[in-house]
Parts: sequence; structure tokens; C-alpha cells
Amino acid sequence: MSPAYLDVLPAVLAHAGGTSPRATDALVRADDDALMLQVGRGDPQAYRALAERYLAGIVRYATRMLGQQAEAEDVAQETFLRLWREAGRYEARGHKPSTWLYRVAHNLCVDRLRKARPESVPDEQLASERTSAPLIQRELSEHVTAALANLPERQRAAIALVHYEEKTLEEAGLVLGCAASAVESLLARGRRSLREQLAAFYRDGDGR
Amino acid sequence: MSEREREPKLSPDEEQWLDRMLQAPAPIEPSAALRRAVAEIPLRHPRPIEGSSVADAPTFGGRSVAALRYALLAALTSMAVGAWLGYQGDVLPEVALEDSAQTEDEWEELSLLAFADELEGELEP
Repeated sequence: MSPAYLDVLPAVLAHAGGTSPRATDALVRADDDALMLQVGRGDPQAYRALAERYLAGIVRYATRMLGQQAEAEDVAQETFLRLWREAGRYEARGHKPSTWLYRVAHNLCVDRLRKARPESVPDEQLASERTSAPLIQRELSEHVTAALANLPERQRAAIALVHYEEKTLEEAGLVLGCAASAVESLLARGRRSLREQLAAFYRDGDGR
Repeated sequence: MSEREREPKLSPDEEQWLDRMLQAPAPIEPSAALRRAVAEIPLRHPRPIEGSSVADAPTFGGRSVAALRYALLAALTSMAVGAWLGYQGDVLPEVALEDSAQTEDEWEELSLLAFADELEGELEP
């Protein structure tokens, strides 16, 4: 790995002083910042390290947003092409590099959703699960996927970021370009809508 | 009362149930082709390493200024090469004349060889 990247790690380790979630987060953050700096200087190894770390998450997020993995993979590829080309212009301003990546992917997804036909049908790969999965599981998966696809774009994005990508409300707000309180509201509405759409699967006491 | 407070909330049971339901869809993994394509981006779209370009050198300033200086440098180089060739042009014909200063006899001999005028005589027994 690059010398600058190695220079940063000991200081972060000393500062973090342990393996608590906060320390780990600080470590990853400093690591990402150092990698981003190196990518900005044209270091392909640093680029590959970031791609290895975030590709799966970006594909997951774009697939939840678009409902089609093939299209989501196009978005992911474009996102990482922008990372490679534009990392030199990245300014942290308190944001994580991962937040920057998700924001790029989100904007690309929104562009596609606005150009696409309104009745976007989730593809079979996403909706039907693996063929080896039990029938009930597959059916349930299809219903949940369809319910997510029926949500308004921003509610779907909020659920994908907070529930599936485990982003904080603040991080999701940075991706969506709104306040954390607005994300909380989007989440509440989205979850209520999902509860209504999936009512057929709910029986009293199911939560316990 | 704020808008958020007016919104009906899910019960704790419903919240837990919904969290479990959201786990139902299969995990999504990037395809091998995508992993390869993403890893190859630096190869397909090469970028100069920062500081390696002459344009980044302090004496050249910004890239737009550097481009203008490159153009000026190229024009000056062309003019210098042109002037040198022009000077050489005055000298070259003399050199060429010296090289081609063969006698009439030599040309005649070459013609005989080329057109084999006396070949029939040589072939006679």
C-alpha cells in the first residue's frame, strides 16, 4: 500500500486506542480518507482497495433502488469510474468517502428512474431468490421486493440506506441531501407503507 | 403538535416483524464480470500520476498556460528546424554534384551492362 496510507495508520491506532465500534469507525474513516487522497493522485492500488470495500454495498443499494441488478451494475461501474476520475476533486468537508460514493450512486439511480418507464418491474434474479430457496421463502422474498419497489423513491432510498446499508440517519441525510430528521420521517412513512402492503403476512404476536 | 408526532407509529411487535420481513430478500452480490470491470478501470482509463507531468512543474504554472507554452515551443522548434534545413539546402546540391560527377565513359559502361547490347557477341562460342 502507499506510504501516505501507512503513515496515517499508526496515528489513528494510537488515537483510537482500542477496537470499540467508534474506534473501528475512526480507523476505517482515516483509512478511507488516506485511500481517497491516494486515488486523487492516481494510485490504482488505493482505488482497488476502496472498490473492494464498497462495491458490494453500492451494488446492493442501486439494486434496491432500481429493482434490476443488471442496471444497478451499470450504475456501480459508473460510480467507480467517477471515483477514479474525480477523486482528485473530492473534499471531505466532514463527509466520509463512502458517503460520497453512495451519493454519486444515488444521483445516478435517480437519473435512471426519471428516464425510465414508470412501471419498472423488478427482475427475476432479484425477485425470485435462489431457486434452491424454499417456496415460501421465495414467495415472501418476492412480496417484500415488490413492496419495496412500490415505495416512493426517497422512502425506498431511506430504507435501503438505513436498514440494508446500516447508515446512520445523518449519513443517509448526506446521501439524500436532507436533514437527519427528514430521513427519520421518510423511514417512518416507508415502514408504515411496507406494513400495509405486507399485511397478509402479519399475525398478532408475530413480532415476539 | 408536529407533523411527525401526528404520524401513526408501528407497535414494537410490528417493528420487529417488519425488520425480519426486510431480511427475506436474498443477499445481493456483484457479479464476477462487474468485479473485473471495476478492477480494470485504472487500466482502461489511465491517469497521469500527479507531479509526473511537465505541465505540473512549477515553472509551467497551470495546465492552460502550459498548453500555450507547448504550442509556442513547438512553433519555435519548427522554425529553427526549418531554418537549419534551409541552410543545409544551400549546401546539399554541391555535395550531390560531387557525388554524381561520373564521367561519360562510366555511364556508357553502365548502359551496356544494363541493356546487354554486346551480350550476343559474348554468348557466341
